[in-house]
Amino acid sequence: MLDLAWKNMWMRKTRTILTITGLAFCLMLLIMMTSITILVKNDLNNSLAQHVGQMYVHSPSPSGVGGEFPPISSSIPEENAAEVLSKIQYDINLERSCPILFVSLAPAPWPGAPPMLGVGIPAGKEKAFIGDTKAKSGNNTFSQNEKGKVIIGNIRAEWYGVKLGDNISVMGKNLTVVGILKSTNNMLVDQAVVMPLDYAQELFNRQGSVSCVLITAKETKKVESIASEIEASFPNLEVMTQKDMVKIVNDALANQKMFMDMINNTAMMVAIVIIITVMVMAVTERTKEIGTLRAIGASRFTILGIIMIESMFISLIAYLIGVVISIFLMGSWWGSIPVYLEFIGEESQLLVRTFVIIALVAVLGGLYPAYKAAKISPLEALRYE
Amino acid sequence: MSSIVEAEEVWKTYRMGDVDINALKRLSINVEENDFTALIGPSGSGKSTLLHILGCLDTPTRGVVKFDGRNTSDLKDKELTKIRGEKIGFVFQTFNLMPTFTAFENVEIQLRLVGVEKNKRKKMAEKALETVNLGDRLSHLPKQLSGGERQRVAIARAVCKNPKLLLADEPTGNLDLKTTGEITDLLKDLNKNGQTILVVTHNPEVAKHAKKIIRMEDGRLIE
Repeated sequence: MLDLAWKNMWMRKTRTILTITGLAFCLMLLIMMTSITILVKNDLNNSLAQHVGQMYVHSPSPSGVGGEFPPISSSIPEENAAEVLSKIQYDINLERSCPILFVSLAPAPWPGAPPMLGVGIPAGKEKAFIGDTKAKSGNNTFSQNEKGKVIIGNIRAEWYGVKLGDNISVMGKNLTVVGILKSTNNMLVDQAVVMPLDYAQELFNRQGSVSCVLITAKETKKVESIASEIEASFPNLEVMTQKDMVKIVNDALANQKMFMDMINNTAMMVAIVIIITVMVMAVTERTKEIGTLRAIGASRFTILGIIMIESMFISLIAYLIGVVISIFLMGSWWGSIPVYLEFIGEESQLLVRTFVIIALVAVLGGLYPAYKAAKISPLEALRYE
Repeated sequence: MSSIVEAEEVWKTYRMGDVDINALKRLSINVEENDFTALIGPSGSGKSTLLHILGCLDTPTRGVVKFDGRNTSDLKDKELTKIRGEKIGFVFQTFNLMPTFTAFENVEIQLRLVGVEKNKRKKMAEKALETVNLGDRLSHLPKQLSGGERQRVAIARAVCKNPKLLLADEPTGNLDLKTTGEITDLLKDLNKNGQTILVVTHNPEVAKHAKKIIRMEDGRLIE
């Protein structure tokens, strides 16, 4: 009965095409939202992997609940920061440990993502924050007491179209870009506008205080014991390890995921309603044909099958179109279709999961109309003119 | 001659609001092999109701209808469907063809429904269409055929499986005089070849070709 279902589907061409378009749009939304969720999660995981062995010693969160990463709201006196470093100096990588000032310069581009960061760091200690990131152009370090100079992360530089030697305005002052960093997997570094700590404190009116102390342990396995030691010695401070960062990021992602899930669920509900509406209309229009089939020997099961198959056909075509459109749109958004195809190849469960969802939509959407069709009495149908 | 379908003291009552309407009143009829019976009578006399009951599309409110010796009231929907598919051919006033199927496919689907093998279906469907002189219209859609041709496709669909009984409900009701004659001749030829036919009609031209004419009025057989 595949041929009958197929031909029935094209009996009302315009309606079928509009239905397929509607379903394809819902699927496209689902694929794109899921891709973005996976992408953000992967990016954050990659970014967090850069913080292995690191700790941020900061003041307690003002709300007393949870924390933030990076600790922008935190403020600790510079002397306290120095005390922390001297207390544990034998267990830490001193070259990559220092006080840091974080200031938010622009809102986060999406929920859970770090904002555009102003980062004040003692000259010569830049590696504590930027790690081994090389400069794409200019320098990746400051010489002592440089004022009005900044080094910019790759994403922010591209975002604002900034080139080496350009001036950017921060807090009403023109700062000269002396270095643009290469792209990294570290989201904080990519978003940052780095400047010497002394100048940052002056610029943001935070003289004598920093946001936190960034500490890199000599050995990763010692992170927890160092954190415990600091918290025991400085009860007014808290330590955020990579584990805490993961928790904060996951909490932020949970909200984002809930939002994405809400859109996805709505899209799927819309898809089910579309299928039910269209198939019920089709069944009502074809009462006479269905009744005739019943009269000449088609069982209720056969009728049920024909309608279900028709629903499957519509959904399958919508799936294929939805996937193709998603690849083009996401590919264009990512700047390269092959790159997105590679992403889909790595995240193959995305298409499988979408296929399972559309199959469920087809079944759920087709079930009621199919049941309605199977209940049609051949007698009623033959009277139907 | 053996009986194909027989109705004994059959009543069919419909409930319309608070009122019971008797469409058939204690009616008895017997259709035997090779009969060509015309059921005539005014509108509302119960002709179509009787045809539906004899064709296993409906069951009586009271009384017994036996098709091939089996009481249809005792049969489940699945069994009634099987009888309709295998033993009864239906021809309707409005042809009732699948609009998206060609003439060949409209006949072939009947054979598919009763489980005839694929290689046999093609031959049987083509033969049935040749019998009704539509051997050259196999790939035409119903909308590309005239009224008479559509009804011939419907007849081919009904007879392709060699049913025990051919039931026709006003088969010429939508046709002109010339085409009515062609369809009547076709039914007559089928009967000559052994097909048992029961036809409901208003048309005396059709009825006069039948071997037996049964007149109905107000849910009863008159003669």
